[in-house]
Amino acid sequence: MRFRRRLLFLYVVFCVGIGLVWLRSAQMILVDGEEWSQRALERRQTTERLDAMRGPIVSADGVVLAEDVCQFQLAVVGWEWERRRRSRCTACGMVQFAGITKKPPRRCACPARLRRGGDSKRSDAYPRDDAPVGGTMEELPPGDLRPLEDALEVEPGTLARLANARVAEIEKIVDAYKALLAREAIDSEFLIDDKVRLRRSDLMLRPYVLIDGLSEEAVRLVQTDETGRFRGFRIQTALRRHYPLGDFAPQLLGFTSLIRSTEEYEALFQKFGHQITHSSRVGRAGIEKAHNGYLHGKTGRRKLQLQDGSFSKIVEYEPPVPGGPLRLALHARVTLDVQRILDEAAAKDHGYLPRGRPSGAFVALDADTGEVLVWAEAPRFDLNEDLKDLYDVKRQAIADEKAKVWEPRHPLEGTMDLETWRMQVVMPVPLALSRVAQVAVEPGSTFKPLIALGLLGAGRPISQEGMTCRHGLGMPGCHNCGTVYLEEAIARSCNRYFAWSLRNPASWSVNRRYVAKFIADLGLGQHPGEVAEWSAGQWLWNWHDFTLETAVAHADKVLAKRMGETAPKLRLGRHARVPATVGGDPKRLGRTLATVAEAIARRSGTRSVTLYASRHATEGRDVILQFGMRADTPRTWHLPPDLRQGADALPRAIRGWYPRNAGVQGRMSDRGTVWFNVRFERRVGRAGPGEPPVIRPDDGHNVGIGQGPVLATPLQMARAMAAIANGGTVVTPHVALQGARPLDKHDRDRVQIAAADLRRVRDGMFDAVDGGTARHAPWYEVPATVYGKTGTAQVGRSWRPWRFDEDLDAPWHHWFVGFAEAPGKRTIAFACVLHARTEDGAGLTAVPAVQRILARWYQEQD
Amino acid sequence: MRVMSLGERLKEADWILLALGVVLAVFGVIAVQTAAQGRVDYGGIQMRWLVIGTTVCLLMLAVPYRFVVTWRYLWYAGGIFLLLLVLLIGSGKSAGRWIAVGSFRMQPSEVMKLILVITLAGYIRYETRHRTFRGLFTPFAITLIPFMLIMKQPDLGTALLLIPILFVMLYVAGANRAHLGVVAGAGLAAGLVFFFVPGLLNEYQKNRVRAFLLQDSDDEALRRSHNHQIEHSKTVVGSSSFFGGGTGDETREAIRFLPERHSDFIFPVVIHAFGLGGATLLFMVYLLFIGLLLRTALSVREPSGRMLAVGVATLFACQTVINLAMTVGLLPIVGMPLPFLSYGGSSLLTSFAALGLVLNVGSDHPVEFGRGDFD
Repeated sequence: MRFRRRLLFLYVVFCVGIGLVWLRSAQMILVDGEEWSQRALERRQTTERLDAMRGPIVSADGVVLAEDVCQFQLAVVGWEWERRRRSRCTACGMVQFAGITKKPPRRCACPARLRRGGDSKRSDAYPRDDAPVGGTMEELPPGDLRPLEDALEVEPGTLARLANARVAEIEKIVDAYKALLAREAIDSEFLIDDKVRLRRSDLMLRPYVLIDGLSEEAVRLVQTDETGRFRGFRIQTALRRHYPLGDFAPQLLGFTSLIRSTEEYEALFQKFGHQITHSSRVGRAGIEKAHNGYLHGKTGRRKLQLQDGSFSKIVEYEPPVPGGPLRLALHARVTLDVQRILDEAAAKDHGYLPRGRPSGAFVALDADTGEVLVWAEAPRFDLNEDLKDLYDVKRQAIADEKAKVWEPRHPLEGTMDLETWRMQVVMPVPLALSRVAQVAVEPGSTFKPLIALGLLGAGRPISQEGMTCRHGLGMPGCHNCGTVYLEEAIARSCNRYFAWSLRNPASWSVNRRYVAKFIADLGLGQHPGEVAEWSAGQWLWNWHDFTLETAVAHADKVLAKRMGETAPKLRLGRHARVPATVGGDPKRLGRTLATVAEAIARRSGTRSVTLYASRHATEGRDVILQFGMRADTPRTWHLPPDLRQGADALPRAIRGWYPRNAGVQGRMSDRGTVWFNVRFERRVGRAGPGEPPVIRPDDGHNVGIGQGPVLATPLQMARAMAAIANGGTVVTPHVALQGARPLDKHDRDRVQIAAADLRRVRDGMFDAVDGGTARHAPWYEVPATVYGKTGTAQVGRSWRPWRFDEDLDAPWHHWFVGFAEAPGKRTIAFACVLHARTEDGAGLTAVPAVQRILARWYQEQD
Repeated sequence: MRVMSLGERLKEADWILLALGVVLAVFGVIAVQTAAQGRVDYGGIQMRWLVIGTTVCLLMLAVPYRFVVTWRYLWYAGGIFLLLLVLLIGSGKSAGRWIAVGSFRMQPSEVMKLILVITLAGYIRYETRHRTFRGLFTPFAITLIPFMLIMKQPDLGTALLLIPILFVMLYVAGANRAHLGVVAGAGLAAGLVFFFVPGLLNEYQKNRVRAFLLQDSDDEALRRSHNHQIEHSKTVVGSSSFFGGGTGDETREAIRFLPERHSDFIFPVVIHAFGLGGATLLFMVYLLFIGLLLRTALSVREPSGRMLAVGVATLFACQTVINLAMTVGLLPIVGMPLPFLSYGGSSLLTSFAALGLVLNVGSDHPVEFGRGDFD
């Protein structure tokens, strides 16, 4: 009986267990059923985000500078490509496809199919109505892709190679995924198999773009392919950024590219939230980047529900809202002509990077509002041509070893190697640097009006008396003018007048502070304002980091290889031992440091070169970047001429491309040891809250004539000219008339300039054009009063008495800055610079170019 | 000892019990085919296993169960050998539970469950030592060796299933409840140690327990990660109706994202396809099936036959309750198939073999008798 009772007890326990399950099921279905049904519905739905059309960029005269266009792309679907073996029914002509291992069917199911009215799912060709029944299937030869390849203008065999590579990529991704699941110790084989199968089928069914910008012929071939010849390939459409004028102000307009998965999940996700999709295009530079939020538009949304095994039923639809049109102050037609004029004027250049390419810049601002009216640079690059190989670069990045890391959500997007992308897509990289806003060089004599205003404001001795100059500074280009007054000094560009006025021992201590502050207030040594953002500095966060010690160690090796036993020892000074890392390529930096050290050592014979850097980590990083890795930095940069020559001789020299405000100072000690002192100082401009800007005593002469530590971009000089033109208002240059940022946020700082002082300087600038150094141009063709100042920044060998290497020379920078006034028309402030000149002076090169530009401007205005 | 002929056995066999097993298996084939969603012909494969399983069941009926029990240590040694072999050459991703010979793969842990029942039944039949505390050592040792080996695979669900089989067989055989309580308490404490001491349990196994405890959490991320399976399972069950959505597109779409839907999570498929009504019918079949197994145990007097029937009934009952309970969130998820319904050849073959043994027990009436009762 006890046995029976125990069995009964067990049975009751079992019944209770089953009963509990039943009750729980009943509760879930009958009581909470609605909630669970809702959840089930949500699981059967998916939301797709739809990219919005990016807004166009339009110039002030109505020319479209950038717009989104729809283009055809050739994509491959791995699943179809694998199953491209085909056979045709001899009776009805229907084409069927087989798998990789499957053999094509021997007989066609014509009767059954005809009874059903055709089986269009399995064929691209419908059976003829009068077709006989029960035909045999004959295998067709492999599809010849040559016609399509010819239409695409690619090498024979390219398409098959690309498609096979795509399938191979998928297999690698799937293998990596499988390994990952196994590492995570998923305890069910079926679960792994399911997941892996889903992943594979997902990738194999997803079209992958191989070639974009297809010709009509290629599209027609694929679309009308009835025999499955091009099976696996599909035509799809996509939005592409198009720049109708090609190489029109590319550095200003910038460019876009697909968002990276890291950005999507990290930075940009926070910034744009739901507006980002994995196919979003993001502005990477220039205006495209600065106004990305405005241009991007609002992403649309489509909720799809599972139906017949696929997400095909649309249950909600929210259309994308295109980005707003961005209207610029820039005049496109004039700028196009200015580009041409600039190319012609700069055609005599040599030696400037990229080697042999004309280099120069011109910018014109509305002197009262700061609107950028003209922005022209040389050289330029075609935004359409140089960016179109994005997908090739992607594939290359995927093939790269680093790119084999499996990315969970976007395996293809995620493998985009940023460095590869940067180097290849934006190539040539140096071209992307803006000569108007990012390249700062010595302004030369164009700096003199600013010095004059600064000294006049300080009440310094040049107020009324003239200065007798008999021998100038002993420098080439000095005019030996005799007794000169301020106006004449400006018109003739007297070096001695300004150098000694500033460096006058009696008033030097006051001058150097006041003048430095005044010039800083005019906008030099400061960020010019919200013009556009450039991306160089932005890329740094994703670069590989390394310490300075790494670079120095490599530099030592390079030096030893180059110089043998005479190689100097490169050491890091106390301040250079920053604990933080810097970005970039340590070997590249090492080579650069070695070259600088070699130049120093060969000139001075020193055996010891010490590198000093700022204690501040980011400053240190920025300094180093100047040796070959550019960066958008708010610091001044200065390298004394002897050391600069060394830098100029670098294989990857970036001569003259010193973002303003970065500072590097080199000096020789009395004992013959060269100290290569990398230090950050705001040589001209505000050093920080409460810290007055200073000009060092030994820089006094140089600053007075716009050389030495002084560096300025054309944009800064145009801004300063605008202040002289409008009576002391420092405008903020801006390109967009509408867009992301309201214009009223642009500050308009006032500089205190006495009217009498202003008049004297303006008179001097007028005289410069009317018989002074800028007289060599037919100014009568310009229907406006032009005030200007020439400047020839002579940084070559004939300048420096302490030069060591006669063979080294550095080309000059030819400047012409000023403003033009005309009744009833807006006053424009302009700055023009032609880089790397080796002959003539600015009066013979930059001045005629500006005269033609101004004539063209007023012609357009009329 | 008189050996009954095959004809007598067939005549005496409890055909209702066999019919219930086949009904469950056919039910399983339909459910598996629905779960497969046409990708793989799981239904066809399961049907083949059903035919093979029925054949094995009849073969088991032909062999006197006492012979099977007599050779129990041989089976036991073979089972242990296979488990050791699994550890050496096992396949199946992270959990190496299968031995593959060509295209054929078997799961020794499934067979070991039945072998353990046979071994314990043979050991207990004429023993009284298990009524003492010290006497529990041998049956526990017999159980813990395969337990440890299966845990090592790792297959926590199958390993844990051995414990209730042991306890129930000892309990039914007359072991002292206090003794069993003490051992159970010690085992529980050991389980806690296993859980909290790092390295003894795999992280995913711990996560399942955590997921079970936090399954009603409001944390969406937690539910989607650790509770991925149970969330899907509950969603499928909860979104069912009383009469079900049939085996067509509706059910296929509803179960599309349910992992393991053709094996361990076959019950949500059944309840969604056939509704609460169908599930109730299924429960009744299981109740009847287990009841008939226990009635077989009551109907025979031979001790090893009794213990075999009890052990097999416990095996099926535990598997059924644990599997059903985990699919509706009443228990943590362990890898355990639903007897006769879940996809899997090893599982189905073992189930039919066990059923064949019980049918054998029920149809065999040996002359000799053991003690009248396990008093």
